[in-house]
Amino acid sequence: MRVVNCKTVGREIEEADHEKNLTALAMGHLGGCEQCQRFYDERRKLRQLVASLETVAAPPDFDLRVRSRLANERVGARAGLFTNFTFGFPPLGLATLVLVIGGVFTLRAWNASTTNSIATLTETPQATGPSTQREQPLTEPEVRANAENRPLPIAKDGTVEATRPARQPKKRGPLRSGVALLRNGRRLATREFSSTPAPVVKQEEAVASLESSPIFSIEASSQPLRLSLDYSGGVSRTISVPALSFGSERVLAGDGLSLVKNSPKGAW
Amino acid sequence: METLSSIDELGFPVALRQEVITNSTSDHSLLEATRTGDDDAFAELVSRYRNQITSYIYRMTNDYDGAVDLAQETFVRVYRAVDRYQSSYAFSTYIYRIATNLAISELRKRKRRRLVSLTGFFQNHDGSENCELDPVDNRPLQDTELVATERRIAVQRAISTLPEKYRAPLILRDVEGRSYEEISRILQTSEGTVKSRISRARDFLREKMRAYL
Repeated sequence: MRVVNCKTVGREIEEADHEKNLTALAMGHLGGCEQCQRFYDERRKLRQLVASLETVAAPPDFDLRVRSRLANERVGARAGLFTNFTFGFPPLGLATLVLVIGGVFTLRAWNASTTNSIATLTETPQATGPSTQREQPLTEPEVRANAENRPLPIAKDGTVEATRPARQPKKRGPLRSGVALLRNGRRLATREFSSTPAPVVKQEEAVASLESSPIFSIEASSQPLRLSLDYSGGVSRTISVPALSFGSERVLAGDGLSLVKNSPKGAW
Repeated sequence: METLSSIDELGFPVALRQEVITNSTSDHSLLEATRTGDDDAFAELVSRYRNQITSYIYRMTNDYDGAVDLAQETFVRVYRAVDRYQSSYAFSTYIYRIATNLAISELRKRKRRRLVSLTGFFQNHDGSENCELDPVDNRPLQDTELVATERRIAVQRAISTLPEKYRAPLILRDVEGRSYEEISRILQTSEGTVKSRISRARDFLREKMRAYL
């Protein structure tokens, strides 16, 4: 036998479509239960209120606007279809890939030719001489030749030799270095001596044109520099010049003469 | 030269098609025809459901222009997915599900954007939820139509303050007149959950509409 109480009647009121759908048992319970009767009246009025909301009509041009949006969808779908076809079809995809790779290589070749022309432009006599040649590491004879081009004051029978081992220079792109050379429109060349053997300068070679007080000068003194002096008696001395960074040089001198003399800015 | 009295006398195929598609054609048949490229069949579907869907989304969002846009988006999605439609359920269930999802997404977007109407700054005394500004007007009402209109506006405002999970089943049940089974399919939840949420929504509404009960 079905038990009729306030809980079951309340659930029946909630779920009923209309008041007529209530069972006779529930209706009988409503007659004797004031609380359930109040709940029933509230729910009935509430549902009538909510149901009084009328259907809102769509605007007259609704169909037209839907058609317009669908037409836009089709146009977009065609574009998407072409895209999928291009990358989904193996020969076309392969051809696209080949074109892209070819384009990259062409661009790199063009960059290389542009860089060569830039390097040619930057090689001027005023641009610190041999320091503009930074594409290849300098060999020992080249280093010696560089050192010989500079008048270096050293002691008698002394030589200047490299104190830092030669390292492979960091490979930089030609375009990047060329652009760096022309940065700010200045024809300024830089050289990193730490990546090349330091020049060895012998006294007799450096002071051949000097009468006394041997002097050697090093250009581009705005870079950090370390000079290592090796006297003939086995005594060595190291001078660190913080403004220079292009490596270290070893000066071999025999008579312990002062190496630095009359050193104006830019020359030691 | 013969003068035509109506465009129908031209005998365009479109006119013939309109004779074929009648109100008795089922939604599934119209969808099948749409799948084969018959745009008139889809136009018939649009004309059947445009008012229902627009009205339903409007009740959900309380924004007519937004509801029209979302209703159009609903039909666009139906058209886009017509090949994937499975006729295991009624088409109305399917399209109402799409409309519900769009409306709920819009409500969540609004919540993220914190779009609050100018009249929504006024809150309940407990500060729990927004209530629309409804200044008391003690002047005598003009006629019963005005009273009914005012009551409908109040109901709509009260519904728009319901949490979205209570709003959708209440509208589907008490405004649209859908069965519990259909609502559970539209909302993709159990019937028990639907009944519980509708009961809870009515409790909310009763508190807000106490002056009209």
